[in-house]
Amino acid sequence: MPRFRQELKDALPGLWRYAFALTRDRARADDLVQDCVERALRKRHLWQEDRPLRPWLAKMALNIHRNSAKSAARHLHVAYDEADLTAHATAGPDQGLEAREMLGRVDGLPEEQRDVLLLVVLDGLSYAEVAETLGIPIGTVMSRLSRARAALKRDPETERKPLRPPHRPPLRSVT
Amino acid sequence: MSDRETEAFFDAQRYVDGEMTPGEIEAFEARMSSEPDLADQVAEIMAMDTALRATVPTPSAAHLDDILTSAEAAVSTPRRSIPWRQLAAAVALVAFGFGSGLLSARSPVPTDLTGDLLANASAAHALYSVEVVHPVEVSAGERDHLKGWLSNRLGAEVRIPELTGQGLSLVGGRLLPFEQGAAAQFMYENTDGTRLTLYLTPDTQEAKTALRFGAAEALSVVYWQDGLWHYALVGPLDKAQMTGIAQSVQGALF
Repeated sequence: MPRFRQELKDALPGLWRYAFALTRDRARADDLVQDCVERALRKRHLWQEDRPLRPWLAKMALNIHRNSAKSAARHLHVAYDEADLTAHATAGPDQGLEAREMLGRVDGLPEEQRDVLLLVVLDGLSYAEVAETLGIPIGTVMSRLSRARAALKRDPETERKPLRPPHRPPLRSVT
Repeated sequence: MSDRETEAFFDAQRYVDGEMTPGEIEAFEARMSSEPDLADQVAEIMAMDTALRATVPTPSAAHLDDILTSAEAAVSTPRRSIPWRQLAAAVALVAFGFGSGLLSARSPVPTDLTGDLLANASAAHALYSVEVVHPVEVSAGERDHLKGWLSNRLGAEVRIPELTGQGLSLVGGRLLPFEQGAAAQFMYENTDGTRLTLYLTPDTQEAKTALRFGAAEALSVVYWQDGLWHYALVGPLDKAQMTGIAQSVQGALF
């Protein structure tokens, strides 16, 4: 099924970025993406050719991440020879201050808004694909997205981080 | 926001997110040139998106190819070494009564046998360790028969570790279903009646892993693979005690 592989390949950059946004860690993002790809490959007979692959992959990534976060939060697992199970890693040292601030604000969003925002902006899904991924109507995608963006723009005063000088424009790009 | 403002914001978003048809784009751009607020809104959304994208590194195409290749290799190999996080997740699930092993944190494959292994080992422990009359099918008195019978049914030589050094005496064992094949469970008991079970099932590929530990509620599991065999030692003891016993099991099997 060469088309399947091509679609898979095309989906990877967006999926990886989305996985990174969920895990905040390169290695975990790698693992999450590989996990999704393996599942997709194993279940490819379930894939309907006329349907886009990306929502399916995004949904897997989100579910796998959620489940791992849940199990890590509820249970103690001590590995003898592996790293910790912290599901929501903090921003890495390779991320600048503004990036961390931005991610902090994203984390402050209600989950339903954050899901939509990350899928649209980082994974690059269309509204229709997001609607399919999350199982919600397109109108809901648009309203959640606008609420997420409005909230990010507001830069709430409740968030008093001493590290940020008050005069700095909160949304300046770091690129 | 008023309805009109909401509408304008939706349009700005659709423009930025590439959701407009060429006709809509043309009309919207004409509107922007006469409504500076709208243009500001678009610029603001774009800046925000840029800032958000900048928080995420961009992997190289070669790196993504590697991930794809690894995934393809993993899928073409029927069974891999234990994805321990999946096992850990399975312990959690068993405690919650699911035990499918499908939910996991990392490197898990739904068809992989280790999640099932852990779920089955824990479930079998919970079921039989409380049994008073028939805790085992074949009792310790028929140790040789137990060994021969289970080796025969599992298709590989089974060894029954001697754990008296740990204060554990063999109660006996039983044959259990596992995936398409079978598994064995040996039950041990200490002097105060605490029971531990050792669950084992053969894989198709040899591997050797370190001991891994998972805990859910009061039950601990130490699990590992050695050669063809996957082992899961299940019991209500703490990590240090379970580890010591698991090491004795490894020593006895070596």
